[in-house]
Amino acid sequence: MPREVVTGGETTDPSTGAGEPETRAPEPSVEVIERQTSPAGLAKELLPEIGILLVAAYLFYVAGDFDYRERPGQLGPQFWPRMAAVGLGVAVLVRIAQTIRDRNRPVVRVKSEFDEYEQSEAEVHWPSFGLAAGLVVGYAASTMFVGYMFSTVLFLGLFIWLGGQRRWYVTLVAAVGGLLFTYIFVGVVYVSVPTGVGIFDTITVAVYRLLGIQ
Amino acid sequence: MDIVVDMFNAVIDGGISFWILLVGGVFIGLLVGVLPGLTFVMGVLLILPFTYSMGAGQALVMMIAVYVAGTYGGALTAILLNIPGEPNDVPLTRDGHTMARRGRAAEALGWAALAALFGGIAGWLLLVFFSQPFASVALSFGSAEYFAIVLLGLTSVLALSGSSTMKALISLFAGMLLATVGLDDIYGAVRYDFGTTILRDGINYLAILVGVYALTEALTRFAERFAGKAPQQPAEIKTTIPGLSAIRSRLGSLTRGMATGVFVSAGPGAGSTVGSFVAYGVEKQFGKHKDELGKGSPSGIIAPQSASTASVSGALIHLLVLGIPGSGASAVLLGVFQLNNINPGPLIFEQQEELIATIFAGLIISIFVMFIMGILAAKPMIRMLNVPEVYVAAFVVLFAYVGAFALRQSISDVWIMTAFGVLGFFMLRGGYPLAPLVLGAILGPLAERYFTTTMIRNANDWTVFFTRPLSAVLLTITVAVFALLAYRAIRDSRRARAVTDSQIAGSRT
Repeated sequence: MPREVVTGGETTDPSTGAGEPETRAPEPSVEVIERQTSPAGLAKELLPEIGILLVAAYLFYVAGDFDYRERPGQLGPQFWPRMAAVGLGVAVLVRIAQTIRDRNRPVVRVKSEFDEYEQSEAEVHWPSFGLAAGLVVGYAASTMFVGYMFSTVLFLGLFIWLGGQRRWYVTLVAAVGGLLFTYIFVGVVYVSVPTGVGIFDTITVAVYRLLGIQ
Repeated sequence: MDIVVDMFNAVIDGGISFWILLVGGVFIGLLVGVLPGLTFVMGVLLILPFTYSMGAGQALVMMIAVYVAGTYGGALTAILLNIPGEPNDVPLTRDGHTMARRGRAAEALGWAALAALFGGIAGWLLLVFFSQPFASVALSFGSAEYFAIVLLGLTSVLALSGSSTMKALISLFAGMLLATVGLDDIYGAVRYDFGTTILRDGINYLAILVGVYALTEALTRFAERFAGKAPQQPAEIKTTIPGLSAIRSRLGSLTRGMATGVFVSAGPGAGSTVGSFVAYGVEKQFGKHKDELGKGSPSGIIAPQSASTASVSGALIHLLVLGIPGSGASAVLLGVFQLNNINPGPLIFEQQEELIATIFAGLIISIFVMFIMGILAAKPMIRMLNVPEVYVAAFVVLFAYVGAFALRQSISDVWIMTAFGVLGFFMLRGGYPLAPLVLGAILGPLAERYFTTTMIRNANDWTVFFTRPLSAVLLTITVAVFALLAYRAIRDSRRARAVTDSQIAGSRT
């Protein structure tokens, strides 16, 4: 449970008389969060950093296998990636060391006057994230088979519906939005988005003709 | 005077399309500033696909209009609804909304509009009159100097990241490493493709930008189930422009804000958000009305807003003169140059005179159109907040798809964009900032190119970075920034420990 610690600027200085505030700039207000991390909790906390460290080490190793025409005296294409991998590895190691050192220390955060605007209070609902990620991945994957136009209409409808808008006109918004932006991107901006395969390709091209897209 | 004539000619040559794109860009910029979940960087990114069929001049006019207007649009919601529309509006929100609650909303909106106008003009003057002399100096820069500038930019990103320095460093190096994937420009070697075509083509930094800025936000808001009550809309929305005597009384705040915006953004890696916060801090330290800040003072609006809009020109100076993007939005503008096979750099002022004139003209006209539209369109803009956020998020994903696909007409970029959208979500959850990742991906290849070129030309003699005077000075500044970072981290850690220990001791007595 976070405990708010407010440090003020008033002290009692015997030389000035009892109760007279000493003029000193007030120290910033801080938030102290007590914590005790178990070994299992620490391991869980360090999992991402350990993953990154392993990736950095692997990429450093793989850089030695780049195929190029070696010229004497030159650094080679592996130099810069290896420098970046070393930098990444060192930063991660320091971060791991800091985390282990501070595992049982309270977390102290200096409060900012802008905290109310900068800190998000909304909690993440993991099933919703899974749904959103699935919709986005599905959208990208489906364009290759059913084409951009159909995928877009489907995506818009599902995203808005599953995002909480259970209104009759969601289907209309999806259809109109999908067709409108297909027209704009294909017919006006000339982006050659996928038209799909088989029957989807045939229908998409027919719709393009109806919309006046050549 | 030549430049004014050139600008006039550029406007005439641009015809009606110049005005349509400019006004449309300003409208979009104001709108993205107002709508939750959208930033002006996203706004510039999301209109990228619309610009593929345009010439470089038209595309840049529209994007710069979005950029400029986006630095001001968020002030409307900050003042009226206590919701900063953009990160750069955070410093002005308390003063702005306090004024609104006291029945001075019209005055607050007027100050924001005026500050944006003056800040924009100050930045524009610097861009027009300083960029060409700077370009003449930059002609003498070699690869060593460019490397030092890029390195300073990468370091500045760390210094300004705000959160854990180590996490920012991890993001930065990760971005630099990601940017090495694909074909190497200098040796012609394919790196980290793991036998796949998708990686052999390299990772385009615009796909990363679209992923982490646009898609991550849409995913995050969906995952949060678009939480947050719809703000209660004010009954009346009006803007009152302050009179001359009021302006005279706040001239100091205006001047400090403009100067801060321009000079902060002159450093690579620092954009309008940094300028805004620094200007507020400067006003709090040195302003005549510093004791009023946070309690409904116009100075709390003027300083950050003028700095935000002034910073656009600073970022453009970097981009045009050095070819180094000074902010996320200018990184997108760099993409437009590259897509049109134009290389920004000191020679651009000789080789692309018409384009430069178009950019200068587009910027100053955008500033005035932003001022007028911001006053007239404040009411309908705020009413747009009645549109449920899920609709905005859905169309953001739609634009993100095309924005990524159209880069190389390849579904690979869509997959890359999607992967980074998901990665960005987890990075934010883990407290890893996204800006260093993005700028590492953008500036990393530049740093590699300049470093490797210098080493090849000087037979691997690394001391050349310190024997060339300008490079030495810039590297010294970089080391100083690192030292400042380290000092700040140690000082904050010791201070925090001292506070905790004294409180723990106090609670035990």
